[in-house]
Formats: sequence, C-alpha cells, structure tokens
Amino acid sequence: MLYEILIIILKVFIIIIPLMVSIAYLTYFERKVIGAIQLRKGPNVVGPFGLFQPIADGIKLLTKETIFPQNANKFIFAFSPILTFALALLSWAVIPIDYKVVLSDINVGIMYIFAISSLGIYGIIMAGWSSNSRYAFLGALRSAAQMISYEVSIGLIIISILLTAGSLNLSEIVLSQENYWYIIPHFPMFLIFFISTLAETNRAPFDLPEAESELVAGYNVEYSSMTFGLFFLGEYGNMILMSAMTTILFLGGWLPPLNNDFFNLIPGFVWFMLKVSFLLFVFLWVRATLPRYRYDQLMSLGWKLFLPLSLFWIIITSIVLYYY
Amino acid sequence: MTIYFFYFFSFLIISSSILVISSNNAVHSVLYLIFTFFNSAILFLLMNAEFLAMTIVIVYVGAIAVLFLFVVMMLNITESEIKEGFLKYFPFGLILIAIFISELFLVFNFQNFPIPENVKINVNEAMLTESSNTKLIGLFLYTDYFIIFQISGFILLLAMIGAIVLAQSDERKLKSTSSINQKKVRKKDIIKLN
Repeated sequence: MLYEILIIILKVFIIIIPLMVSIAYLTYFERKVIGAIQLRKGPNVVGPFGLFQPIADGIKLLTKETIFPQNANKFIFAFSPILTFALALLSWAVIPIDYKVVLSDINVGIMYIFAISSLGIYGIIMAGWSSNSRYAFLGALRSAAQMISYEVSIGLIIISILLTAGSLNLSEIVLSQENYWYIIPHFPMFLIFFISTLAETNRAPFDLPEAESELVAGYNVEYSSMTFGLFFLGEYGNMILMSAMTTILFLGGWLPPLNNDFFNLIPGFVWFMLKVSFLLFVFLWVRATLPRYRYDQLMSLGWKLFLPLSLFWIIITSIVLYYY
Repeated sequence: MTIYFFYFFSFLIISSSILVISSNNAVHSVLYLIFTFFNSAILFLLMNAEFLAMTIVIVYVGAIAVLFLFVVMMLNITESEIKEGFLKYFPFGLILIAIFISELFLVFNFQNFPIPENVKINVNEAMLTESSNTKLIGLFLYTDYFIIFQISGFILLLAMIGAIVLAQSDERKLKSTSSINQKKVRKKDIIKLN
C-alpha cells in the first residue's frame, strides 16, 4: 500500500519537474521569438544566449516581498494563485505522452481535462474579487465571461472529435488516428479550437483580462512576488496543456506523421513534444503579430460564429458517421 | 476503505452546506456551495460513476456556480439584508425539506425503481457486459428512457426561452451608434482650423 503510494508520488514528480522546466523555458522562448519577430535580440545577458534568464527571473520573484492589500480578503487572496497553479498541473495526470506512458489512464480522460479547465475561472475571478480593487475586479469579470463563452465551443468541438474516435479515453482517441490525423477531416474545427484555446488561456489577441493599456494588468494587478509568479506559471502551464490537448485531439498525439520505418525510429514522446512545441510557437507568433480584439468583437465571435459553426459540425459529423 | 472516504466526504458536504446558509458574506456562501458540489462529485466517483462525477463538475461547478458567483459579486448585499427575510422564508424552507425527505423515503422504500414497460435492456445484464458507464448511460438514455430524456431537454429549452424573455425589455435604453454612420464621418466635418 505504502509502496504503491510512493511509486505514484515518484511518477508525479517525473511529470511535474520537466513540466516546470518547460514552463520556465517557455517564457525564455517567448521573449526570444517575439524578439526575433520584432528584430531585437531578446534576453542575451544572463548566461550563454541568456539561457539562465528564467532562473534569474524565478529568483527575483521568490525573493521579493509579498504584499497583501489592506482591504483584501486575505485567505481567498492567497488561495487563488495556488488554485490557478494547481489546476494547471492537475490535468497532466491523464495526458498520454507516449503509448502507455500516462499517470492514470482513466476512461473519461477528456471529460476530466474539460472539467479541470472549466475550474480555471475560479482562480481568476476569486483573485479579482478578493484584491478589492476596481481594475482587478473588471479584469476578473471580463475573464470569466470570456472563458465561459469559449468553453462552450471547445466542448462542442470535443464532442465531434469524440464521435469520430468513439471513446472518451485519450489514449484511444490517439490510437484511432493511426490512419489519418483528425486535422484532415476536421480542419475547420482545428482552426476554431485553436482560436478558442487562445481565448481560454487569456492569450493575445484575446488577452482582455489583463489588457495592459486599459486595465493596468487586470486580475493580478495587486499581486506581487511569488503570488504573481504562481499566476504567471499557471498561465504558461495552461498554454502547454492546451497545446498538448490540441495535439492529442487533432495532430495524432505521439503518432508519427507517416507510418514508415524511418519515422518509427524516433520515439513517440519526441513526436509529441515536437507537435506541442510547434503549437506553442504559433501561440507566440499570434501574440507578436495580431492586435488585441475589442470586447464586443470577442463576444460576437464566440457566440455568433464559433458556437453555431461547431454545433453545425457535430450534426455533419454524426450524419457522415451514421451513413459510412 | 471506500466507506471511510464516503463518511469523510459526506461530512464535508454537510458541514459546507451548513456554512452556505450560515455565512455572513454572500460570496463566501457561493464558494462553500462550490465546495459542496465538488464533494458530491467525489461521492459519485466513489461509486464508480465517473461519467456523472465529471458531468457534475463541468455543469454545476464549471458553469452554473460561475454564473452564481458572477451575479453575487456584482450585487451589493449587506449582512442585515440577508438576515432580513429569514422568518418570511422559513415556512417555505420547511415545506421544501418535507418534500425532499418524503422523496428520499419513497426512493429507499421501493428498492427497484419504476421501470417503463417493454424495457429492451436489462439493467443487470448490461452491467455485466459493459465496463464503461458512459456507454451504459447512453444506451439507457437513448432507448428506454428516450421520451423522458427528450421531455427534460424540452423543459430546459423552455427555461432558456423564459430567461431570454425576462431579460429583454421593450425600451431601447442603449446608447449606440451604427458603424455605417461612423464610417461616413469625414475629417473636414468635424475638425475645423481657424
């Protein structure tokens, strides 16, 4: 009994430590990519090619003073960054990195991820409310409305993928893509899903919750040092998670693009990481390229375009699956 | 082992639902309510009903409670206003409690639930053959209980239409400009240099 628990804890560490390193280096990667797009050099001072920059940033965040605003609700104020960060890590329990390489292979995996990601709103809305500040509150309200709206279309797109795969288990969804990835039959849904994940993770061009130019920094304006750091880590963790989810649902998870000997030489988790890295690059590319959406544009895009389209796609998918 | 988990989580449910009605801050009440929903999902997990557990988290915690929180945060309710209606609503509360308790008794007294006639799928047989309860739920909902399922969907649709009708007012109070008129504006009409 105790031995089994120890093994599980060890497995959790094997997942979480590389994840933390990738979150840290995603921030570095982001600054380098945006630097390259804007013809700058990006971080290049700390260590060779600036490679120690994330570590320096981490130390800076850890050693600063944690400030609690005077009228803040202390418990909720401290709890919400912890919640955000914990939720960003929780979903990794069911993500299959390679064939049979997954912490727990539950048979409602995709619903588990959807449930956990729908909880992500609470961290933000509680942070905004408990800091007792107008900017933070407005940011939190915007964020809650935005995340609810885009979750609807994400859920509907997941349904059409589930219908095609015939299973709620993530490993089985990947294995059912052996002949062709779902990006081929479901290409329009891939685009909508990707845009919805941008909105779901509050990234540019939908980063209205923390629109620097109008709301200072949105829901995390009152946070300092590591409490802010946890929000930051949570956001980047969610980016990686959403990319992993897109990879599993549309890009065939750990499967190589063609089933030949040369591609099969490369282990599955490398393919998985390559696909996730590509999607993360697109995240950063979009951020450096597009200007921020207006709030009403964001809402009408979510409710008036994505929702009917994804609903329509479910009907088409079911008709096609029924007759062929 | 499971029974201890059951007692632990049901203790959490009961204590947090008492906190829902007794806490002074409305936002805290909603947060306790979310905690209650979450623990009830865990109870379903303990009974191996993982599909229902996830559905509870997605629907109640992920969607409904967020809207609750959303509304409660924006309302400006003071403590005295919450306590005000206590005596007025107390009888209604008692009636509701009576209804729920009698329903529970009905459920526990009739061991086997009323099954519609001409049932195509036998519950016990299906339990033995299929392991995933997602498939089982689908199988039951879309065959034997199809009409009940459709009726509940229709009730939800009615509720949605009702909410939209209530939210829409006839008066147009919104100050708006059409984007066509905005585009027609020329620089020389607005900016004058003397």
